[in-house]
Parts: sequence; C-alpha cells; structure tokens
Amino acid sequence: MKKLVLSLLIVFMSVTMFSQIVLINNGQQKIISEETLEILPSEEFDVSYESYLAEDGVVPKTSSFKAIRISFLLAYLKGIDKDATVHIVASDGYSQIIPYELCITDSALGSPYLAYSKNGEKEYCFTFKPEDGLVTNAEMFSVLGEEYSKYRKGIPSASGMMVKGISHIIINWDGNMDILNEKSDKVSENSEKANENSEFSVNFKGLNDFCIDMTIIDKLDSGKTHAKKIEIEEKGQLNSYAGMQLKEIIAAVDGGRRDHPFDFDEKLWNSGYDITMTAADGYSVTFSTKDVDQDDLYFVWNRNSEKITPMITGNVSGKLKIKNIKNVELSIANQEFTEQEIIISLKSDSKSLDINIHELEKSEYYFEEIGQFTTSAGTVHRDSYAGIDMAVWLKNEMDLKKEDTVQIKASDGYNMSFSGKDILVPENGKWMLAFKLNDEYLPEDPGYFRTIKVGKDVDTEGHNSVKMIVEIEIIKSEYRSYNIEFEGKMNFSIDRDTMQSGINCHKTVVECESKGERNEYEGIALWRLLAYSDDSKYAPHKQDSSIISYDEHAAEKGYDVTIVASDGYSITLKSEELNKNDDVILAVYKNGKELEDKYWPALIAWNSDSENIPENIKMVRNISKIILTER
Amino acid sequence: MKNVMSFIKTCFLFLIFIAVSLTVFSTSLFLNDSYFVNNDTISNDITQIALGELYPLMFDVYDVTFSFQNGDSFVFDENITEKFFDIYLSTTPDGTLIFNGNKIESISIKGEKCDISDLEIWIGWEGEKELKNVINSFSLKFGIKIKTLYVPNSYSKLISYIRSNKILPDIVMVESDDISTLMESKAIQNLDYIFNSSEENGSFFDKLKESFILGDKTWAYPFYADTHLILYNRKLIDFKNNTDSYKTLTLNDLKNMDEYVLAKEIIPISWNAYSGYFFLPFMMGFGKENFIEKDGTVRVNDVSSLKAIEYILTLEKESILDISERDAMTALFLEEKTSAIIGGSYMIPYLKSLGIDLGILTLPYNEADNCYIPPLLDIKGFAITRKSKNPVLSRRLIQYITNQKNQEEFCGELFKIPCRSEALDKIYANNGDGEDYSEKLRISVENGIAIPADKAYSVYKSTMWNILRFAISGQMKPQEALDTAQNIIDNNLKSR
Repeated sequence: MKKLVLSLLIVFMSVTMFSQIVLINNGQQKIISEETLEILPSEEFDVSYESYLAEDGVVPKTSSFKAIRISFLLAYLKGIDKDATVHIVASDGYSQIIPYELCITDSALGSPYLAYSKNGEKEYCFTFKPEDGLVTNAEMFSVLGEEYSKYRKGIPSASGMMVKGISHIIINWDGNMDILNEKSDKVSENSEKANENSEFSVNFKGLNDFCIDMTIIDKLDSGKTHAKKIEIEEKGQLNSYAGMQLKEIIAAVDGGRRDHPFDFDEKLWNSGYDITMTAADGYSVTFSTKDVDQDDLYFVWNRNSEKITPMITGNVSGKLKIKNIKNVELSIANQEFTEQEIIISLKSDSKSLDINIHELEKSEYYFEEIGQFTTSAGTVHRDSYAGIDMAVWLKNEMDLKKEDTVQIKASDGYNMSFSGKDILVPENGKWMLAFKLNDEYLPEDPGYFRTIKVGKDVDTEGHNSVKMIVEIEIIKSEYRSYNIEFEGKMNFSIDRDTMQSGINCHKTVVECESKGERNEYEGIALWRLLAYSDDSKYAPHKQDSSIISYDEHAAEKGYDVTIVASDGYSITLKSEELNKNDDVILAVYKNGKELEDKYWPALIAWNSDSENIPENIKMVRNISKIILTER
Repeated sequence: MKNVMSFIKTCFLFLIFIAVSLTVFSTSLFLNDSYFVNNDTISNDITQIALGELYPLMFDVYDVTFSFQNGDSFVFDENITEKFFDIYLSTTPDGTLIFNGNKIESISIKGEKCDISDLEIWIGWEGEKELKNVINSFSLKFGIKIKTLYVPNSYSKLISYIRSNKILPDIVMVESDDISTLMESKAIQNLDYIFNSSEENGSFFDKLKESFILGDKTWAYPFYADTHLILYNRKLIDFKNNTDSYKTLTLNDLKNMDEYVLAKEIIPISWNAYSGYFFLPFMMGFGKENFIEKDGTVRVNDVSSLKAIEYILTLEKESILDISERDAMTALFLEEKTSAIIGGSYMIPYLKSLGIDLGILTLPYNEADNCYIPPLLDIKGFAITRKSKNPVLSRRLIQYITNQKNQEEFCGELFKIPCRSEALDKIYANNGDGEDYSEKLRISVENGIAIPADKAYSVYKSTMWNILRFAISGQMKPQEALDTAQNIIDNNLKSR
C-alpha cells in the first residue's frame, strides 16, 4: 500500500510540473527546472499595468502573481557585466529587455520578477513589483527609456512588458532565434531516437495546460500505473511500443479534476469535440473524438526497447500517427459557460425567436472591433468587443426597416428605444450587440449582452449602451425623437433617449383625472428635472455621484417654473410647491403607451388623490420648454 | 475541342483507375497491401502519366519496384511517397509503359492508402474555371468529393471564420503577404514536413518557394507567380534595329523612349508610380541591397530610393511617363493613347483577348549599376489549415494541382510563371505570336523579388501609397517625402 501511495505521489509530483527556464550568459547555460524554482523564495502580490488605452480612460488591469525575483535566478550565472542587458525571452522570441542594474537595485517600477503563476494559472511571465502596485506608462518610459519601453499602435503600453511563455533569460541577447530553437533542432537531428539527455516537451492544451517532458516520462516509465505495452503492425513489421493511452493525458485538460488522479470525461469524448495534434515539423491534423475510439490512441515514448521522442500511434489511420508530437489542443469551451442556455429574445408583431449566444458567435454576423462608451459623468470606456452586427442581423432576421422602432429591454427593467434608421445607418461606426469584452465573455453580472457602437473614432452615449439585454423588440411604428428645453441658470436640451434613460432610473406613475376620465401616466417627477437648470454648476449625472445636482435650498427659497407648450400656451408653478413633490410629473406615457399626437411628446400630470397639488396646475400638453426664473 | 479531349482523357484515366482498383483491392486495405499494375490496363492514347494517377491515393509508400520486360528491375531506394505525382511514365504506341527507356512488365508498390473523405478548398484570383477543372479531374480520378469555393478575399474570410469558430476549409489559396497574419492567427500549418521529406524540390523556383517562408518555416506550397512586365503595343512602337530592346530596355532607353514611339501624340509609357508596389522595384534597382533590413525595418530614405524617385520624376517631367492609377492606365493603353504600360503578367490574356498586338519586355536594365530593375513576384500558393481533418489528402490534392503536367496546362492558358522551373520552357515553347515569353518570364523570375511575407511590406505599401503622391505632385520634395515616409514606417513597425 505504501508503495502504491509513493508511486502515486511521484506521478502526482511529476505530472504537475511544467517547463523549465534556460539561463544564458556568454556561452554559459544553466537550466532551471521547476523543482529548483519551487525551492527559491517566492512572493505573492498584485500588480496593475496601464495599457496604450490608458489615455482613453481604460482602467489598468490587475493581475495576481506568484513570482521569484529575477536577481535570484541571475545568481546562477557568473560574470554578468554591470552594464549588461537582461533579455526576458518567450519561446516565440517576444522579449522584454531590462538593464542588469535594475535587477539588483530598486526603481520606480520595483524589482523585476519571474512569475510562475498569473491569476491562478500556471504560466511563466514577467512582471515588476512596484511599491504602489501600479505600473504606469510614464513610469515605464522614465525607468526603461524609449528603447526598452513597450508600445502598441505607437503609444507606450506598460502591459506589453508582461512577457508570457518565458523560456529563456539571456544576457546581452543578440536576437538570434537559434538559441531558442536549439532544443528542437537537436531533437530533429536525432530523428526519432531520443538520447538520454535530450530535452523535449509535449504541450496539452484544453481547459487548462499540461506539459509532459522527459522527467515525467522517466517516472511514468518506471511506475506501474500508466505505462503500457502495445504492438502495432507498421510497414510490414510488428513494432512494440511503450506508452500510455492518450485519453489518460487528455483527462488532465478536459475539464475535470486538475490534480492527479485525473478524471477522463468519457461522456464529453463521446459527444464529440475536436482535437488538433501538431508535430515538431509542423504537420497538424484535427479529428473529432466522435470518430475515434478513446482506447485506440496511444502516446508512446519507447519503440522496440529504444527510447524515441514521443509520438502518437495506435490502431488508427496513418494521418493520426504523429511522430515527434509537440502540441495537442482540445477545442472545448468552458463547460460551465457552454452548458448555460444564454439566450436573447427577438420579438415583433409577426415573429418571435430565442437565440443562443453560441449560435450568435457562429453566425455570419459575428465580428470584433474596438468600441467605446462614455458615461454621463464623462468617463470613457474603450475596449475590444466581439458580438454581432445589429444592422445586418435585425434586417435579415426581423426585417428591420428605417421607419421602425427598436426597443431594447434589459433584465433590470431598463428600456431604451432606437430608431430603425439609427441602427441600420448610424451616422458613424456601427452598432454591435456585444457579448465578449477583450476576448472574454461578458459575465452574468452585469449581463451577457450589451449594445455598443464600434469603429474608428466612435463613441456611444452611456445610456445608449444598454447592458443586461434580454429582449429586442421591433415595433412597426416610427421612432419619433423630441427635445424639451430647460432654461435657467444652465440650459439643457433633454432628448428622448435621455428622458427614457431618466425614466429607467426614476420612473414615477400617477393616476390623474381629467374631464371625468382617470388615466395612468408615467414619467419623471418634475422636481427631479429642475435639477438641470436650478444652479449654474451641477446637473444630473454630470459630476461625481456624491454631489447632489438638485438644489433643494434654491427650491425652498423660491423660483418660478414656467411650463411652455409648443403652441406658446404656458402655466407657471412655484418651486416650493414642486420641491420633492413626486405627485407632479412630466409624463411621456399614458396607460403604458406612448402619448397620442395631441399630447406628444410630454404633458404635465399629477396624482389626483394627492394633497400636494400645486395651486395653478393645468394639464399642459405638447410641452416644448420649461423655464426657471428667479423671482 | 481541347476541353472535350481533356474530358475524354480524364474519363479514360478514371477507367484505368477503376480497373487497377478492382484488380488490386481484393484483400485487406489497411497496411502492407501490395498493389500491382501491368501494361494491359494502359492505353496507347496516353503519352505520359504520373505514377500517382495509376494508384489510389497513398498515405505512405515504402516499397516501389518496377519489373522490366528485359528481366531487370528497379527498386526506389528512397521514400517516394511525396513524389508520386512527379514521377512520369511514358507509353509506346502499343500501350507499353516506359520508365527511363525500359519497357515495364509490372509495378509493385507496398504502402498504406489514404483515408478518403470530403475536402473543401478555397481558390481565388484569375483562372477560376481552369483551376476548378484541375480539381474536378482529381475528384473524378480518385472518387473524392471536393467542395471548391471561389473566394475573392480568402485571407480575410479565413480570419473571420477563425474568429467565429466556423469550420475551416482544408486548403486555402494564399499570396505571400497573407502569410504573417495567417501564421500569427494559427490559421495554417507549417509545411516543412513536405519540403523536408521531398528531395524533388529542386524543380521549384527557389524564389517562389522562399516567398512562403517565414520564421524559417514554410507555410504554403507555391503554385504560380505573376510579375511586373513592360507590356507594349507593337502597332505603336518600333524599336528599330535595337534588337536587345526586344528583350529589355535600359534605363537610358526608357528615358529616350519617345524616339521609338511612332506618333508624337502617343505617351511613351504609363504606370502607377503612386504605388509602393511599383516603386519597390525601382528602389531596389538603384542599388538597394535588402528591402527588409536585418533588424526587420524597411529603409526608404536612403540614396537608392532618392535616386529612384528622382528618375521617375525626370521621366514624368520629360513627358515620357504618364503616372496613372491602374484603371486609367489600362484605359489609356486600350485607347492607344499610350504605347506601353508597366503591368502584371496576369494582364496578358486579357489584353491579347482584346486583339492588341502585344509585346512584352522585362523591367528595364540599369546599365550604370549593371543590374535589372527587379520586378515584384506576386506569388500564389496553397496553404493547409491547421485544423484540417484531412492534411494528407489535402497535400495530395496540392501535389496533383502543382505537378508539372497540370502546371503546364494551367499556367500556359493564363500566362503565369509556374512554380516548377522545367514547366516554364514547355509552356511557352510554341505560342505562335513570335514573343519569347519563356525567356522574359525566366529573366523576370531570376531577377525578381518575391513580395515579402513579412508584415513590414504592408506597412511600407500603405505608407508609400500616401506619401509618393506628395512627391509626385510637388507638394513635398523627394527627400522630404521619403523622410516623412520613413518616420511613419518606423512608428508603425515599432508598435507591432
């Protein structure tokens, strides 16, 4: 029993390993294995990096690192010149250069670190550890200078310093990629025969990453748990292989337990997903798991008692037998996400359908683009979005016409209407129904779908970037816009979208009796709208939310509120009577519908049962202007 | 008539294939099958047939033996799996197969058949009908259902398919400057395994093959190239007794081209000098060593580029050159208002079809520096998508399309430079119009520069498109324009 536990422990320890770091200085080479890294002192910390979009107000992203000081690693190399440069190099050649001096003294960026875990995922990447936890573009530029700073689209971008997939740390690297490829060259020179000292790794990528190298294979070979012997007839002769069933490794990345012993998801395999296998020489083949028996594929490392570089073989078609296998990639999405039925509803008088987010992603309407929205307080959010082209989608699926109205409903009750024309032929950019932000699906909170305008130099007013969308309704009546002018200490023109947005936040419903008829009216309490013009400094949503834009003191002191209709008819009410009076509203809906033409676009309505009805109030309709005048 | 013959030939080959298949595949088909063919099945109508056309598509072939009628035999001592469509057998009038002058009694091969499944290929550019014919003949011969889509911009469609997780085709026709993005997007697989395993690559023009190499890896299989040429109307121009000029012009000849033009009102030559695509050959022809420097940058504010721009401006000033964009330039040429244009070789069939008495010249020769102005080689090839479920079958289709026989047919009809060097001479040996296409295309390909697969080329091209017109219109001095362009290129490359 002890032996079994020990054996499992060894396997567990070895399979949780991933690749090594190669340190090079002037001909010296030192390979730091993960075991070595594990015993070096490490730290856990969070760092935020500004990107090139910082000037657009994009908030720096914070990542959590588990990392080792680069200076600890450099201690393995001898004779590093004080003026040397340290090149942190990824396996694809992307690198970050830092002067050696920065590795041994602190700067505004803090010390440089090699992280072996980022946001809980195993990954070798580079980071600084600044004291304030933030790496700004300006700090990068000031410490590293123009030459070693990172840029994107010509703009400094500190986030570019977080080199991922680090394989080498090289002193005074001349950019020669051969140094990085030495390993694989050796492998190919030796053909399939692997010598004892050769280094290789096979990467498995699914819902997580897993890497198998020689150390693991040696241990698997000596263990009894996984290694098997199989015989396969090839080119007229019987070859004997040692290896393990591929499914046993697939189990490590197919979404089950991430620790040994792994659970192979047989149900998922049988349901069918694609696996792409790539050899060191570039040969790549994809197969659907539905088409291959899970027991037929083997990952082998020994043929006829001779070690070979790992290959895929088995009782399968020749195209799936891959010598010198390098990568195995599973095309499986996050199950938690795929299993959710995230749908959006489309509705019109004649048609109703629900569409799954994954159908949208696979549809011809899907695209990616930079989008931007600005909140009413002026904060700009600019990011990369992916979603579908609303114009083409709604035109094709719902026969949207320019004359129609598009009503977008959110799960929190927020509604926003757009004209069909605005969706189909926007003045600039295009409307996207987005469900991915910077390559990640939009989360459940605040919601899976949002509208946003995308394209070059476009912006979306915050209230038009509707989030948490659950339904889009096409109404076959014309979308009519309007503006109501507010004049006072500040002048504002409130358009339909702003009014709608206000109703979403401050909906007030009153029952008003007029000419013996009682109706329900919906709108915004008039006192709230006075906030636009009652002082010269603050208006709703135009400053920090801690500042209340409504000037109650001024209302108590008293000013006149004149409500003017489009035909010039007006009434004047006293601010004292309207102050915090929710029984008097500027109404835009009557009995749940848009106002009829004779009232359009807004009227004054009040709660007939209220005791706070202003003295001179009358049902002014076709309101075009509201004027605040000092007495 | 030619098509009817081709169809009959295809049907005949298919019948041969069926006959061979029936006699061979009576036993297990998985591993170590031996396939035999004898001359009873070969018709004397066929003068040449590729070995691969006699057998089912093979995944791997590890033993091929030709037994000859004289009792000798020949065993290939190398793996010829990847050369099955490159080894040709000829026939005698009585239908006997000949290999290296020996009459074949029988052929034995051992190997593994390819799994047969459906393929999808996206093709583009000129020759849709001709290429579909080749693909159809493969489909018919080997019983493979192939979906062939003509996709005008396969590159961007492929990228959008990847982003939206759609099922990708197996093969995509690409051009060299698509490669860097397709590689970065992991859209295509590197094909080193094909080129490393086949020593037959000697028959490829190196430049065509190299144009698809990026990061020391080959990403597409070359098919053909188009090149810059001077296309002239023989009716409007007379090179007198300057026989060399029938091959090429020197830069000095070009400066004096008005002397050869038969009417004064005719503009000697026109090309789109606003375009970096046309400027690059002149930059290089005035002494520039590398287009992309070793550090990955592109230098345009150097002496060679300045000399090039000044030369072009001189031609324009002296009314030798009319600078027009492509459509205007073509219209001038068709209206016989200009005697010559610099255009792509792909224009030849179109211009000939309009009845123009067309002559061709290579780009001019720089007598001072003793070198040609190198034309750009616009190279098309086939890439296999990384997630193809049929990479081997895809490879076989590409090998079939690009074998010498099909190259000769396809490129010959469309005036393309075939990827296989030996096909070039055969294609244009007897074209009947007195023009030596073969020699001029060979000079062009030997001196030409493949459009680089590096992204730096796109940056260069878009920058020069905007800046060159400022220099040409006189809004900027040549050096100022080149310095401005340099600045833009540097900033763009830095931000990559």
